[in-house]
Amino acid sequence: LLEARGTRAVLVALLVVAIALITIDFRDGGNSGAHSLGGRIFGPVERLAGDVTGVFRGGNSGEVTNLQRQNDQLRAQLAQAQTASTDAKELASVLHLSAGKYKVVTGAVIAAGGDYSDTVTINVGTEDGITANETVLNGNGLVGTVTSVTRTAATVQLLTDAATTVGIRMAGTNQIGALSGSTNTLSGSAPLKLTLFNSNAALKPGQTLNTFGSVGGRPYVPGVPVGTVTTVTTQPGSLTPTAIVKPFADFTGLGVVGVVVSK
Amino acid sequence: VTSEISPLRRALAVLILVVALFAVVVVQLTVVNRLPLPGAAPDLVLLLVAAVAVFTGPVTGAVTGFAGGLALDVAPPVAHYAGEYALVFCLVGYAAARVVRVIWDTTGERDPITTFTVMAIAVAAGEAGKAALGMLLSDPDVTTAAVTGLLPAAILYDLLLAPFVYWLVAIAARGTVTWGTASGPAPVPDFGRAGRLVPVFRQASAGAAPKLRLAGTGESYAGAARGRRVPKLRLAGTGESYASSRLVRRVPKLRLAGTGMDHYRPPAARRVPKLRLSDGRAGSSLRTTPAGTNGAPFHLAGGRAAKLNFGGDLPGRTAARTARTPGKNWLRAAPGGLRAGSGLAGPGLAGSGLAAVRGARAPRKNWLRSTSSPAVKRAVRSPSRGWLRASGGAKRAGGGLTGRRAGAGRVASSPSFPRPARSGAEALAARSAPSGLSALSGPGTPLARRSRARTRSPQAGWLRSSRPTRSWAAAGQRLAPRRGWMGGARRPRTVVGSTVRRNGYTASPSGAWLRHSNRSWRKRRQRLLQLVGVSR
Repeated sequence: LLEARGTRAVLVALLVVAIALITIDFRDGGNSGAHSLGGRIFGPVERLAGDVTGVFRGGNSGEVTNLQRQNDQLRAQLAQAQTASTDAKELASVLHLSAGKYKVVTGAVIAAGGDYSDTVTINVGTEDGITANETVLNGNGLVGTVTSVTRTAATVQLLTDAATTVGIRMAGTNQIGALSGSTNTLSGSAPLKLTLFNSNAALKPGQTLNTFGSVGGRPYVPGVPVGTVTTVTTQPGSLTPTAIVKPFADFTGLGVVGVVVSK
Repeated sequence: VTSEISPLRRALAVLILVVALFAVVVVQLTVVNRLPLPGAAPDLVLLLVAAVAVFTGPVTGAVTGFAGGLALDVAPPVAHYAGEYALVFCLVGYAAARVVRVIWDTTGERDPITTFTVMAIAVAAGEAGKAALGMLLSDPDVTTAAVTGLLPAAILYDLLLAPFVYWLVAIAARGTVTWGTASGPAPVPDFGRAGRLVPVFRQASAGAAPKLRLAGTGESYAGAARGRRVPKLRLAGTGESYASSRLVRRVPKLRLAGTGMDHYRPPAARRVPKLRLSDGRAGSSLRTTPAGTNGAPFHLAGGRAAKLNFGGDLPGRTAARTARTPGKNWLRAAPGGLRAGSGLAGPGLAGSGLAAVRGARAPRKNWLRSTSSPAVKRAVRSPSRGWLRASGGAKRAGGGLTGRRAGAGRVASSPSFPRPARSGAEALAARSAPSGLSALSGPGTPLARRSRARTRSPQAGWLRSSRPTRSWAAAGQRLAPRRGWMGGARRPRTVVGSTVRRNGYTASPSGAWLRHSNRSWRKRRQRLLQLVGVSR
């Protein structure tokens, strides 16, 4: 098609451009203008394609969608209520949380990232009030956080992504710790690794985890259920108890999710 | 690439490519990545890039790879640095196209399997490249554990999908893309018009004859934008598919003999030359002299230049065989020579191959063969052998498989041969008339000696060159030229490597024979295989 004499010249030019892009993006920490441009171009298309595929998936249509939305909202309210009822005052005083002031915007997953990154795109963006670093959850529990957003779409970094770390609080014991994602394996959804900060804390399989919360509710609001401990992997002599956690949310079949936006 | 492709068509191809790339990126992100596959997901964009690259060229491959990779880099859900995949895919596209070109040029054939293999390797390399670059940039997602877990699965999925993508792109490329004309040995044959077949084949074999392209269509490796499928090995076949569709009859097998004419309208060039030599006119022999000179075409009846060449075999080989006993065949003609301009492939075969194999019982067979290309030099070197041999530029035409197996004159035996009467008459004239050439052969010349020894009258048969062999030609049927003058039913169809069927037609040469024929393209291929260490 485009055969010409300057084959090598073309190749070299393209490689230089690619390396320049990588360099710029690396400098900007992965948030260079190229991504927003790509989001502007591909966002609407993916949204359209997501609507089309959603029909076949059946998870995005009519009654089911409405019920799921309601469920999500109720779940979010429940999380807020729990948070408020347990130690709202304490948390608010310490962490300056604005508890009870959340609103949930629901969106559907329309695209997913590549092999090595656990990211999805949802069909809500800035025009729906979404901004970056907002908590994403669904009817089962915590899903992830918004990392970048365009006008019509937002990218969500999932809980299972290797780059994700979430502060958690054990339900019941109130021990705090960190939950980090791991890489995908052939067995499908990857287990999450839990590390408690208190070396004396007891870990038992079956314990549930909620989010600890961040300052201003970004990137994680407190009190969202995350998962249950399946295996305790604490090594004898280690300073911190560790465990494998199974998330509540099913990351292989994400459909409708809710984004917690501040009022 | 393509001088033959109109700008409109090229623009259309580019447009299709862009749209396909965009669509594949979207499908990759919205559908494929969301499939609950264990491990990884196939990378459709990478597959498309590799396939497009092997079907087009380095520049197209590189640009396509860059565009596809960049789209994957910046489309929303993706979290790696912009430019990573653009870099990798660009290299993949370029390298795949480059490698496939080199292989084509080395082997001289465009084997779909080779092409596909290159594509598959490129895809695997692309997956590995993505992982490597991610680790290089210390992407938190791309860790050693992730790579060891995901990379094999990703490559496996890609390879499973590769044949499908290859097939789709091959179909799409059929109408819109030509395989390079400059570097490629074989142009895209357009079989819409049967008359183009001959030059196409000649060119094809001038480079190197592809393996199964005997039947001359070459459609297997090129797209002739035709709806129907052409069987690959039409060797024995009927070839009707590429002839005009009106001809419903079956064509006898083995038109290798070189003429292949009867499955489409006979091109004018196929007419039998008038053999002015044989009419005994003074100076008629002069007409042959130009034929021996470099590049001078022999004029056939109707003022056409002898198109062909059929020279059939590679010059070296022909010369070697002929040279062994110069006394015996120094004037040997090839039936192909007389039938210059005839159809497909065969001539050569009949010409050099048969004659050589049979010990040249028809000594004057080649006298009309023109020689413009390499053959000329040989002829010049030893004038006693083949000095009159003609050869139209494509000395090697008909190379490839067709090589020696053709029963020459096979065409004539086909019931549908269009103009037997005329040809017969001409042949009769050619055969019976004394030739001017006889003047050249004094009593002491080998020709004369041979004439006395083997033929009753030297004038009778020495120009009877349209026959492939002497054995049947000399059996007295010469007086009834109408029957079988170009290969009657009684002519023995002993063709090397083939068997004679009960119906009188010759079966196609067996596959084993084909495989072991000592063709140059085979040598080249062996050389390549040795190069990569696969030789036996």
